[in-house]
Amino acid sequence: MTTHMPRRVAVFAAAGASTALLLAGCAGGAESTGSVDLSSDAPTGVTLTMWHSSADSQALLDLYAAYEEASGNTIDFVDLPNDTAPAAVQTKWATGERPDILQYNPSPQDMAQLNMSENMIDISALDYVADSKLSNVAGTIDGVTYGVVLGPVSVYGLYYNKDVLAAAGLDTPPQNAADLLAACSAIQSSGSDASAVFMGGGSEWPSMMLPGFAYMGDANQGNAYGEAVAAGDVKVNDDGSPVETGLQMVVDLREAGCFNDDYSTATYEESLKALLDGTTGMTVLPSDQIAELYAAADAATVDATVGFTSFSAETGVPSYNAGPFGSYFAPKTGDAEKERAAVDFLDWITTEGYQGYVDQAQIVPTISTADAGSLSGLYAEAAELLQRDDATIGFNASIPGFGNFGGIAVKVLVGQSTPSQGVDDWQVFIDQAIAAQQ
Amino acid sequence: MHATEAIVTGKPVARTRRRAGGLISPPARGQRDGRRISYRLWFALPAIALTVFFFGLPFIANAFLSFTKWTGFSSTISFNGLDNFISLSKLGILGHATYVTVVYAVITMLAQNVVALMMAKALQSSNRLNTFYRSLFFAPVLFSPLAAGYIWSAMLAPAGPINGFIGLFVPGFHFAWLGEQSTALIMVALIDAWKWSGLVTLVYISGLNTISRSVIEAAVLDGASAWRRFRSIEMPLLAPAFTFNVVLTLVGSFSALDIIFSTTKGGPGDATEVLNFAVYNQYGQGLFGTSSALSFMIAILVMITAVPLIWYLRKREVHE
Amino acid sequence: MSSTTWVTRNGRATTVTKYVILTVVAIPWTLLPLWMLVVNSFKTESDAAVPSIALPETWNIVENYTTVFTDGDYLIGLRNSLMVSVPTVLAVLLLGSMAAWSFARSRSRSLRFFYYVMALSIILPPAIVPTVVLLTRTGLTSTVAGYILALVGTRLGVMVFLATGYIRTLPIDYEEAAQIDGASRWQVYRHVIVPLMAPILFTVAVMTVINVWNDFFFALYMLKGAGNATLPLTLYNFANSSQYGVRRNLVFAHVLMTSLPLLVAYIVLQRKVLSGLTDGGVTG
Repeated sequence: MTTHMPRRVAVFAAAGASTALLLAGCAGGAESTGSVDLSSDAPTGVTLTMWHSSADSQALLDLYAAYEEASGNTIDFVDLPNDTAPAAVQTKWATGERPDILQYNPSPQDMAQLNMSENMIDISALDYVADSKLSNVAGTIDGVTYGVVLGPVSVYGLYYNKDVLAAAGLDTPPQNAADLLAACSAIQSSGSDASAVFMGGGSEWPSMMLPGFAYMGDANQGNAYGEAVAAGDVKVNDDGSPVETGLQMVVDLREAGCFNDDYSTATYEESLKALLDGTTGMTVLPSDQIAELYAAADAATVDATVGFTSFSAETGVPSYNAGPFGSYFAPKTGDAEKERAAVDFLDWITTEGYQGYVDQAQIVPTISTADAGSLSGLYAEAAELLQRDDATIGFNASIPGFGNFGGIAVKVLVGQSTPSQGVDDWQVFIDQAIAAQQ
Repeated sequence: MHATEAIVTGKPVARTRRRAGGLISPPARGQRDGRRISYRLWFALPAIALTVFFFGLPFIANAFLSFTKWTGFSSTISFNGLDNFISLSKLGILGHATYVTVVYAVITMLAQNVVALMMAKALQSSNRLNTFYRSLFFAPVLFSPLAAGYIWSAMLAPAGPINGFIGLFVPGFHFAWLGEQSTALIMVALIDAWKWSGLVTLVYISGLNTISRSVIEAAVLDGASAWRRFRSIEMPLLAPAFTFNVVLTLVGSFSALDIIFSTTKGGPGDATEVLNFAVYNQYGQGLFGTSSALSFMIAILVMITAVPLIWYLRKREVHE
Repeated sequence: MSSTTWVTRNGRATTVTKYVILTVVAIPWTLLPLWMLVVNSFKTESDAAVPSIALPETWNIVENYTTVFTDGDYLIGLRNSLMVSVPTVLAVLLLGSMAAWSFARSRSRSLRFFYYVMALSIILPPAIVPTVVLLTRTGLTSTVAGYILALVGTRLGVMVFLATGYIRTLPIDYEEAAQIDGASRWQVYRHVIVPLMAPILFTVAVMTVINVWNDFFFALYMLKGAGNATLPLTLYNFANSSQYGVRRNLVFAHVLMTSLPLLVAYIVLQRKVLSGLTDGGVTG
């Protein structure tokens, strides 16, 4: 009756063709232009697009403005909501969009997700690389540096309430697992109402701090553990796995009644409050939260009440991590002028603009050409830890599929899973991630 | 006028005359068809083109991509058959996310329709007072799902007003509605239901008001109780409105995402990780092939639920 | 307009009880959330950190709302939301009704096929990444135009579905009459179909405007943020602008300001909106 069949076939053929077009579009991004010629002058009057978190500190925002003034270039900001920034970057990236400057997590594992060698400009020739203290563990993959790390670098440590510990007869805060358990019973027998250790399971990420980021400092010296897991030589569910013993420590603490009553639903904000008002003795969190403590009470009170020290399985080695804040990359976009300008940005913020940023942000500089300002109180204590020779990069740096550890840590914390089940589950995720990267 | 009524009942509506224009006889059938086909096509063309381009093609592309190995780690895309689905189910993500989504959808659908039906019955007559209450209950529809999530995470906070109110009866009540594994999912589903019930109520009111008065009066005269009337007469005749609402609420909650973003972000643990959120998580890890596979799962879920459901409900509809 | 009310025996008592119950329900349903929203938007940050219905200790109204306007990019968001919503709704109404007329009056098989495609688009979730890739390839990425097109393409389904059903219930005589009288097809559409469809156009306009005004998901991936962010996007960015969690007082202020245009429009057009959605009396 009508010619619908051929028409329908035509429709589907068109669909198939367009799909192929789409697929071709997804694979790869712009044509690669290799690394940038640094001997040429930096261009001015160029507009660069930057993807950055909506939660950038004022110091960072001022740094960007300072660059714009010094170079005559303009930065067009694309704000990514802070808590979805990693996924938002990935999704936009998958569609083939490329910014000129990308603010991104410089851990090797996160970097691998963006296929650095194909998509990012090689900046190994910048002065930054030689002067940076971190460039061999952050922003670098396979010996090639793609990203700069300005800091702040987070140090994972044990915050403690001095009064609660003193009342329990503890002169020094515990720095390893055995001492932690001992401290807990000391606090419990001192008749104090305070919980020994505060666990903010409700915010989820705090449950990773104690058994993961802090505990694994010993095992991950030189990033040994993470790299071994990534290579498949070591599995997190091997016998005697440090991850499992770390999770077991959490279970032991829980069963000894060391945690706050609402450990499964309390938020990390509540842990800070408890530290200040003495309803808890200790908690393990990154140094990022120091600023929040100072925002919640006056400096004198905070310094008098709270201390910060390192913690790990056996030797009390501090662990640290460089996060997305203050870390930048220059994707290949195919536009030579913009690429040159982007590299100029990376260069400027790590040389001329860096000291100003360090001063304003009050952080420990990651580049040896800058001086640390005088830091006081908890900031000074964190800086001290960071500058120790045995400070170790966090164990998440190279472990594929690390993102799933949070959920597993929470499940073990609340008793929905056992340590050995937890590491088994995690190894499945890790295997999937390793397979995906081949 | 009678818009919703016509949609809801699917019946022709009596209309008053408007522009008749004198005595005319319609042209012969064949002539009519032949003349009109061309303009009908191009009248529909812009809409068809936009839908095909922005819905159809991406959908087909997504379906293809579900069967590929596509990650941020490498720039090659290759077909890998059912591997994505297999690995997703091995990791428990596929099964768990599907389970969470279904539970979420069912709770939302039930809550919304039960509440809306009760409110529709209560506010059925169109008088001043009822109109006031109708708009009061309609107000939440205007807020974005994101905003609804922010509002309710404040209301349901452990130290928030809901607990405060319960605390009047149960002293020291301190419960994290959105933080406990057992209640988080239910709560988020109820927030979703809260947001849309006002609209669903209006559709039901419209449906109720189309039921012929004489039928009900006859039932009253026969001595049927209010409940009996409702069960045997109104409910069957409400079926089209019921179909419309059930399908819309069920399907809408399969696509839930905004509320999860502003309340629990998939937590606690993975208790509220609906399929859409699992998609988003996979993206965060640079695993685009598996993410497309999860998206595709949603589409399949919607089709196997909505299509039989519509067919079943349509069958049960009674037309006066 | 007569309504279908039943004469019951214990009329008064049940009515009073009914309205008492309704009022009690309305409190946690609408009044309490609205109160929370308003009152907390007047508080300082630490005050609002513990969410309560108490009045603010320190009244921070001016500071909060000023921050929303400046840091929260409210005016930009408002302008963009208007720039997006109005054309989208108009396009959906116009193109959708045109298509619905074709679908309703045609026996063509291919048109029927496309009708089902459009109906499916209502219930199937949109695939975001391929859509953005499409926009990228056509140079429309991160633009308001591209965003509008994507919104229209995915929202047409509802309009077409509802309107087609509606038009099918209209007698064909008027269109034929007009055609005989010599009206062009466009004139028939404009002068016969559109007025007859007014109620359904209104209903869909209401549903679409609420949906598009509050869209967050598409906006997140299709708009660049900064210059062309719509209100939900500025809200979410704003809520996430502190590294340390949600600043409730500011977020609530932003939520109020975001919903305000819709709330105002709703209050003004209230009667029309509700009657358009509910009146279904058999007798006209």
